[in-house]
Amino acid sequence: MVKNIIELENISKVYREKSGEVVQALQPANLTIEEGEFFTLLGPSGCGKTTALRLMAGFIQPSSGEIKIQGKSMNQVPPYRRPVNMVFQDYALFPHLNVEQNVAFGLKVKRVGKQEIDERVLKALEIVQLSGYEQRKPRQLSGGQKQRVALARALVNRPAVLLLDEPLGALDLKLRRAMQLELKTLQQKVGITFVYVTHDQEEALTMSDRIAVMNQGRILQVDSPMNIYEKPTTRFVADFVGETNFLTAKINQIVPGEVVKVAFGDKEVDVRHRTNGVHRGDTVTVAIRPEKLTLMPPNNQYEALPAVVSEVTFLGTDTRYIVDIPGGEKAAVRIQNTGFHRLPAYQVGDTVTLGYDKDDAQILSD
Amino acid sequence: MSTQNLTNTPAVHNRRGIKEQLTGIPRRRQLIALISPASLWLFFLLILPLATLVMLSFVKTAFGEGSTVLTLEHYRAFLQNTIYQRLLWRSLGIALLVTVLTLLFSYPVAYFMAYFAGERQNLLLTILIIPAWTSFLLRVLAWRLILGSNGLLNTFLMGIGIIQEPITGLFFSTPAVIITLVYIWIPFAVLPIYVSLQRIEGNLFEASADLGARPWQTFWKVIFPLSLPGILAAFLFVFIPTVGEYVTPALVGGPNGLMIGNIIWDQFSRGLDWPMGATLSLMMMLIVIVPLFLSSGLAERLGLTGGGDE
Repeated sequence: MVKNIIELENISKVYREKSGEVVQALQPANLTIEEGEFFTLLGPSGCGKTTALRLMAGFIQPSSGEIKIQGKSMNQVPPYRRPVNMVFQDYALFPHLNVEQNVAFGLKVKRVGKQEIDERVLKALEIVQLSGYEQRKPRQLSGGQKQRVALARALVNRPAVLLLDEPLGALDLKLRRAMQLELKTLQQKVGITFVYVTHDQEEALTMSDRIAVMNQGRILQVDSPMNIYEKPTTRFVADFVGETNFLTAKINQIVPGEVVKVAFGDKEVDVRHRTNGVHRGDTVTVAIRPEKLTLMPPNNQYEALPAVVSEVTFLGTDTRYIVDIPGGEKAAVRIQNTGFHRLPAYQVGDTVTLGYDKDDAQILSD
Repeated sequence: MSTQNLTNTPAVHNRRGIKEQLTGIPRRRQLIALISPASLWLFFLLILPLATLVMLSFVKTAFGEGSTVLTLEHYRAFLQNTIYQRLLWRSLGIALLVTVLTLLFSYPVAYFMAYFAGERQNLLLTILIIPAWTSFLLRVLAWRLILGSNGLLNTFLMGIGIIQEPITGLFFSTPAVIITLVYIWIPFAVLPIYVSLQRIEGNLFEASADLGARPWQTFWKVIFPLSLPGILAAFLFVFIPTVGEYVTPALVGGPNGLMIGNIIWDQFSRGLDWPMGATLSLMMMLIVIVPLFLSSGLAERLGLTGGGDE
C-alpha cells in the first residue's frame, strides 16, 4: 500500500516587504508526496518551489495551512527535530571541519555512540564514493566532491525524507548528467523519499517518479514525467517543459469522451476530447509538440491540415520545418532524419499536408 | 594532448624571453627593483629602530664616555632586580585579564550586531566607533568622573543610601586601570569579531539545525569555531598594546596600579637611564612575541588562515 510521507494541506506563505508590499510566495496549495518516491518541484526562479522545500525543512513558517510528515503535524516542530535532511544548493559544508567531521555532524549532535558514528560515516562515504577523502577540508574538494559530501552528510542520518535544493546547479553540464543518473540510482538503492527542487526540465524528466510544475506561487500540475510532457493541462506547463506549438482554433463541435472538432481558419480537424470546461464556439489554444507533427505530400487520402513550408533548418539528427497553416499561424515540425525521410524532402514554398495523431494534440484550458 | 604539450612548452619559454628582451633589464635586477620600496620601508621603520634599541641595551650609558663601553650590566640588573620582573609579570597578568574581560564583553555586542541588529547595523557600528574618535586622554579621564571620590558612582551609592562615606579605593588602583582599559578596547575588539561573525554563510546555521543541532549546539560547533579568527585578532589587538600601556596606569592607576610601561617611561624620561629602558623594552617585546607565534601556529592548525572558504 502506498503511504503518504509528506502532506501539505492548504499551505501558503506570504512575505511582507519593507515597502509594505505583500508578496505571495506560495498560494494555498495541497500536495501529497508518497513514501519512497522521487518527487520533483519544477519551475522557473521565484515560482515558490524553494519556499515549499524550506517549509518542509522548517526554516520558514507557513502563513496558513498544515504540514504533515509521516502523519504528524510539523507546524510547531523546529528544523532540528524534523525527520528530514537537506542538501543545500551551495552545499553549506562546514569550512572548519574535514569531510569526516562534516558527515559525522548530525550523528554527533544527536549523541550517537562513537563506534556507530564511525561505522555509519564510513558507509556513507562509501555510498557516495568518497572513501579516502576523510581528512580533506571542504576547500580542498572539487564541486562534484563537495556535492557528494553534502549528500553523505544528509543520508548518514537516515532521514525519512531527503530534501534537495537544486543540488546540481553549480556543476558543469557533463558532471551534472553523470550526477543525475547517480542520484537516481542512489535513491533507488537507499529507498529514501527524495524531494528535489530544480528549474531544469530535462533533469526533472530524467530523474523523477512524479513532478509538480510550479509558476508564480501556484502548483499547476502534478503528474508523472510522461504525462507532464505528453498531456500538459496548461499553456505554461506545455511551454516550460519542452518545445510546443500553441495554435489558436475555434471549437465547432464536442463529442464527449470522443473528439473535439476544431477549426483552423476554414479547415476542421479532430482532437481527442480530454479537457473539461470548454464549450462549442470557444476560441482555444491547441498545443502540439513539433516532433508529433509530420509532413506528407499534398492531396493524399488522409484528412489533415494543408500547409506551406516557409523555413527549413537542418539540425543533424533531425530537420526542423516551419509551415504556414490555415488561419495565418505558423507551426514548427521536427522530423527525424531516418532512412524514410531523405533530405531534402521538402523545400521552402512546397505545399504539404500536416499530419498528426489526434491523441497527441491537447486543448489547453488557459 | 601530446602535440599540445610539444607546442606549448617552447611557447612559454619564448614568452619569458621576449619579456626580458622588451624591458632590457635582467630578471635579477627586476626583482631587486620590485622589492626595494618594501625593503626600504622595513629598514627605516622596523629594522633601524629595533637595531638602535638592541645596541642601546648593550652600552653602559646613552651619552658621554659610557656610550662606547659595551656591557651586559643592564641584563644582569633585570635578572637580579625582582621589582622589574614582578612588574613585568604583573603587566602581563593585567593585560591578560583586560583582554579576557574585553573579549567577554565584546563578543555579545558583536553577536548582536551581526545577527539581530538588522538594518540598524550601520548605526550601531557608528555609535560604537564614535568614542574612539575622541581623545584617548579624555576617555581615560572620564573614568575619574565616574570612579573618583566625588564621582558619579560614589554620589549615586551615597544618594540611595547604600554607603555613608565615599569609597576611596575605587580610583588610583589596579581595578581602575583594568576597568578603564576594558572600556577603551571594547570597540577595537568588537570590530574583528563582528566581521568574522558576519562572514559566516547564513546557510551554515540552517545546515546545522537541519542536521539536528539545537541552537546552543549550533553556537558551539559552528558559530564559535568560525569566529575564532576574529577572536584571535581581537586578542592580539588588545593584548599586545596593553602589556606596554603606560598612559592609563599613570592617570588612573596611582602608586599601586603601575605597569612595566611606566618604569620604561621613567628610565627614558626622569631616570635618564636609556640603556636600562631599552633592555626592559626588549624583554617585554620578547615575552609579547611568544603569544603572537603561538596564535599564528594555532590559526594554522585550525585551518583558519589562507584560502578562505573556497
